[in-house]
Amino acid sequence: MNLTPFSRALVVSVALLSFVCLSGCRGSGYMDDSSYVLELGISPTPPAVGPARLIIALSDSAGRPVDGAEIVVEGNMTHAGMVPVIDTAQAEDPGRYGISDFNFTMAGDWILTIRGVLPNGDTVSVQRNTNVVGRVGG
Amino acid sequence: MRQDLLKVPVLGPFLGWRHARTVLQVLMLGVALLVILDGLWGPQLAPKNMAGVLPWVHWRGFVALALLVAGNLFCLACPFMLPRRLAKRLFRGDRHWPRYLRTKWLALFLLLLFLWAYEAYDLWSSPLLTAWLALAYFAAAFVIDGFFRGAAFCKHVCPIGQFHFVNSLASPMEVAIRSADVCGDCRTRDCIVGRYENPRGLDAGTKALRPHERGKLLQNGCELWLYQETKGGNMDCTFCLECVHACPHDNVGILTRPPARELWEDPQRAGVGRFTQRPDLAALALFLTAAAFINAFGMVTPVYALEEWIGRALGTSSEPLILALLFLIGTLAIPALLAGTAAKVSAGVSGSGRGVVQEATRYVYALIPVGFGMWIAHYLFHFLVGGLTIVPLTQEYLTFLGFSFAGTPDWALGPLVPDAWLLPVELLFLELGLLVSLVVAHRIAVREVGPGPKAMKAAAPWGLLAITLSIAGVWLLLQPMEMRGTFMGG
Repeated sequence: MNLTPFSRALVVSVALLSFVCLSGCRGSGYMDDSSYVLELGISPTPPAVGPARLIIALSDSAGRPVDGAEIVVEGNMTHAGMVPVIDTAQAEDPGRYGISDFNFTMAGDWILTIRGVLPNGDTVSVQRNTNVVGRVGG
Repeated sequence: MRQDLLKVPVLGPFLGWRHARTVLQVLMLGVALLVILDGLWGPQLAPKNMAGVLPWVHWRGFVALALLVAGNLFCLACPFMLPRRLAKRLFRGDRHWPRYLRTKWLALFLLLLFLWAYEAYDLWSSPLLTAWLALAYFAAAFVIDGFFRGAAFCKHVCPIGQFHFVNSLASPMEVAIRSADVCGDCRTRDCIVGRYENPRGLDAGTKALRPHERGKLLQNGCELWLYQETKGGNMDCTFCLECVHACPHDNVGILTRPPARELWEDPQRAGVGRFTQRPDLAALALFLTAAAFINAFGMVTPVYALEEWIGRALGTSSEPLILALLFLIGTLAIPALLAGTAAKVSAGVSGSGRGVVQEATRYVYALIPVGFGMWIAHYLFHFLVGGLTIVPLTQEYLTFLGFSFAGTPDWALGPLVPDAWLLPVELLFLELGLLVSLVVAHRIAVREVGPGPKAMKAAAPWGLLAITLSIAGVWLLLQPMEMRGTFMGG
């Protein structure tokens, strides 16, 4: 097949751009670590627009609470273009961490990513979906 | 005095350069590839994926701005045209597009399908589906234009292109001739037939050369069949600038014009015909106007109560089915009923004696500006709220590639303007659209029945319809937003 100069340039451009972009393919980076269990509770349920209390329970596979972890919660809406809400949980009880005023800024579907760094250096992260309802009366 | 974008320093010479479009398309192709690859293999969280951010926040915002301040610039840089051009070279594409499809009906159906799928399958929250959509677009442009002559895909198929065509009717710029006298003296018409090694021959006053006698094609003419001398406006114009490069007299430019003027003028347009004799075009305009409001309605809290009510009434929980019904009623049935009523009244008061469809085909173009205003309000909202989210996302992407200079992503970056500005900006564009719609309705009425009270009466039902739409738009903008979809039912 005889390609014209334009076609050749196009094929080369596509190949080049594909290479550049392929090198950037990335996975989600989020994985549940089966050695630990992260559980999330939200109050109120279902959460409404505005501050909500998040309770995170962290335990190992034997069910023993894990203390001293640094837990960060990132909330993203499913629609792009909304600034995520990121907050750090405070230790409250053995294996329990809390955020008292996690601010859901808009009604709709949210994906909460909870990441923990344990004292031994292990990391754990999970994603949980929740639907935030609008304030009554608008 | 009309200004010419091609005479502007730096920008003009660049756009006048023969390969400018290819450069812009290759840049957009890079963006499209990024969207496809990250959409297919990146994190499936829309705010953290190029396929979630670039098309639905930035591209739509820039499209709205481009149409508002210039014209159909995004068709100019459309990356889907590169594989299409390759297809033309590989397969010739010499078949004629079927005569029965040379209307906007197919495009209207595809646009309806696209907007329905956007809501029903939450394309905005699915990088994977967004990537597949882009791939399907590349494939469709390649296959269709590989088979058929001219720019069949752009003119008769592309839903995005139709969105640009219709809304660019209200844009302040158009690709147009600089001097009618020059065209009057032209005998080669390169702007439509293309420029060959051997000109057609009419300049010498002899018989035109046959195609095989013209030698090599040096420059395409308009592939959408818009002959410049009688083109008149932006309908079907992709701003490809082939005519600019083909014209041997340097008589085509990108000229300023009174925005929306072509909505009330009704000349015989090359490649389009008269607007008043194109019910398909009028239906597309009406559909896009209504879709502006239905699309925005899909993002506010009351839509979910309505969906649940429809679901209960029909005994179904299938969101695609419920949305299909909502779209059919909201973008086809109700607009047809309202426009039909307005047409009946305007025909009655003006005594035109025309049928409802004929009358509506004259006046419905007056609704385009208020619909355009709603599209701008909606798309600008997302862009102004999340325009800067691309910064941390790019930082993260570059860091992943190993470019440490990118720095730590600051995910707090997002809004381009303070929150308090959003509603006034949205209302401004919506009401500006209404104002232009009222002017256009009156101008059309003057064209149809002459100046005076009769024109006011004939325009009144269309003005009332535009005002009703505007009120609906204000109500929508005042509703609490709710972006639900991925796991509906919660």
